[in-house]
Amino acid sequence: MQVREEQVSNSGTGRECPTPAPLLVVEGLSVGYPERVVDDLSFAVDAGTTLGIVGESGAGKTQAMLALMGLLPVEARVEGSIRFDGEELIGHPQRVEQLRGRRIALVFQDPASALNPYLTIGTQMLEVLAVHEGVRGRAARARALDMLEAVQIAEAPRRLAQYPHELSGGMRQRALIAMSLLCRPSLLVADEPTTALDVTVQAQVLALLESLRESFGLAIVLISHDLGVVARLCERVVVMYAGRAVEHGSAEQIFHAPGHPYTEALLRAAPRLDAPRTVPLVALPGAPASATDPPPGCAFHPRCNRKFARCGVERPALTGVEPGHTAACHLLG
Amino acid sequence: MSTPLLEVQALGVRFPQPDGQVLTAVDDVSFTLERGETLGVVGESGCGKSSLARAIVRLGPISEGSVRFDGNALEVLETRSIRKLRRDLQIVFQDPRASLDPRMRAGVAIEQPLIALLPELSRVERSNRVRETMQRVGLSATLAGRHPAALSGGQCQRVVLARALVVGPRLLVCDEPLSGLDVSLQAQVANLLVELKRTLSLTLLLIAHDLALVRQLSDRVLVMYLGRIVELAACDALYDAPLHPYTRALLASVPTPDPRAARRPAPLAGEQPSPLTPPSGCAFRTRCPHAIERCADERPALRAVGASLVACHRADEPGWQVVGAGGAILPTPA
Repeated sequence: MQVREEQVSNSGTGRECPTPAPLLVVEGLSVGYPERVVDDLSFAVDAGTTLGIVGESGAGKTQAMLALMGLLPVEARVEGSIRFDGEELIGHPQRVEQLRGRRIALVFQDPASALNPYLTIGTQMLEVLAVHEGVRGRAARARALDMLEAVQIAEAPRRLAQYPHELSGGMRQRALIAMSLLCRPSLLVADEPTTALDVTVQAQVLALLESLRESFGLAIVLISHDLGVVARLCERVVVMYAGRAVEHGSAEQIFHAPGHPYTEALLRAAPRLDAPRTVPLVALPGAPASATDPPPGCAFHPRCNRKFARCGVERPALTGVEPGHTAACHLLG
Repeated sequence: MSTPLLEVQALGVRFPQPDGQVLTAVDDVSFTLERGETLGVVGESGCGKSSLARAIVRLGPISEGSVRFDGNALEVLETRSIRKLRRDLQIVFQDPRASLDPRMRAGVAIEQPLIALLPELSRVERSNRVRETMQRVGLSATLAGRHPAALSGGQCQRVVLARALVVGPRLLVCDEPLSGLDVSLQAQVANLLVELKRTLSLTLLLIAHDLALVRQLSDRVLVMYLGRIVELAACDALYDAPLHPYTRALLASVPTPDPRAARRPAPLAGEQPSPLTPPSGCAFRTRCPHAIERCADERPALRAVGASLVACHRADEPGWQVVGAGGAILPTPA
């Protein structure tokens, strides 16, 4: 008990909860139109950590992200629970609107289309502060400058007066990250944040996200198809296939002891520079299954080289591989 | 067999800007491509790889230098004679869906080059060729009647490949043929390219930004920075012992899909300068951790160091070649 009390006083939050609950808890999240594109997705993210969501196109990664941000179209049917800092978000769109931009921020894939080409970087940054916090004028400008410096943009005062097209791709993505962090959010949702960037610039942005996570105590949900990016940033990883989580574990477990044949196949299919070259590549046959019209049983079974009769009939549930590691595969018993 | 299939000599591609400035997309690029060889071209956006590809197939301008295909100079050809070339020289672009007419069925799309370039073929011969080619790229004949919207991304990429291969080209230029495809499909199409190259004895110019995929597919690799070749070497040499600091930085920037891998700081700061105002001397010197005074004064020529060609003043210094596997460790020469 004494240890716990010390922790509480050290953290200085004054909260009564001795072991803090995760910042974000997603349970049984489903999104449908009305066919389900995300089905029964669950995960949790602690403050200061990064969770990666991996999968191919149509796996439901982006739909899950839009559900988190409350940005789904009105016709989407959302079920399950999304608790942010102990507060239920599903069914409370107004609350989500209050949190979005303030405590939950979003970084999109393509910085060029996420910025308004007609407004200067400064105008767009100051607007964020005016809308969310009512901060204007000199105070707002000072905070915008601070944040541009935090994301390592040189000559910050000059950048404020520039238009997006006057910045390079990497600089635009940094500006976008700066904008998303202006209100000091506790959760950053990043959807393919480095996919549109060149590899040397990607390395810079990954290092930046890593340092921001530490300096701001940010929790990050990173959506990516790039296993290298995920391995670099994430402590925990969810692998999605056809709208469902097929595996969930620590990065160590996912990358070194994958429990699902799909995860294994993904890891083998991507050529890597740190291993001898293998020709041909170990390709997965077929194309990713559709979430709205998945094959019966395990959605992955038509492409799986270890399938057996049961796989085509019965959908496997997530079962424990070891503590903190689950996979949805009948091979696990 | 003595002449190479493709010989690019001091090629320059320049785009005059409305304000009088000149954008140099490709500058003094020379290389040869042997029959049956795959040459990978890597570099970041804006380095001139696509302008190079377009110049070679004469879809883009050639401002200076020469491009010889099978001994024939292409830069002097008039528009009408370029057409004859299209049978031998085909190109596949990055976004397969955007490369297809959304209202044209797959089989019809694949047939078009035959109608345009081989008018002597009969209807039956054409449809036989289409069927053969579809089979070769792994497209089931039942897909011939589908529109692009009813095909997956991987299938669209195969249609585009079939459309390029149906006329039996000798050189296939692929501009980012795998980006935009899911990981599992990338591996399929990469394997297909290897297979096609073998069975059709194709020569391949492969332009891509994915360094790991280029390594899978290439015999030699050419690295470009700001319009110029910085390194040209056999694939294994380039990846195992890269000589140019930019090649090393590129390789070290690729994140390793292993959470146990050391978290290295980003190897390069900043971004590629504008091709409108390239730095003096070596274009890479503004980001190079090893730049010396000479780099600003004198532009390094592409020269042989060991079995590689490299454009760096310092590449032959003692100790320069001390690098780890995959070029992961940046050297600190004495």
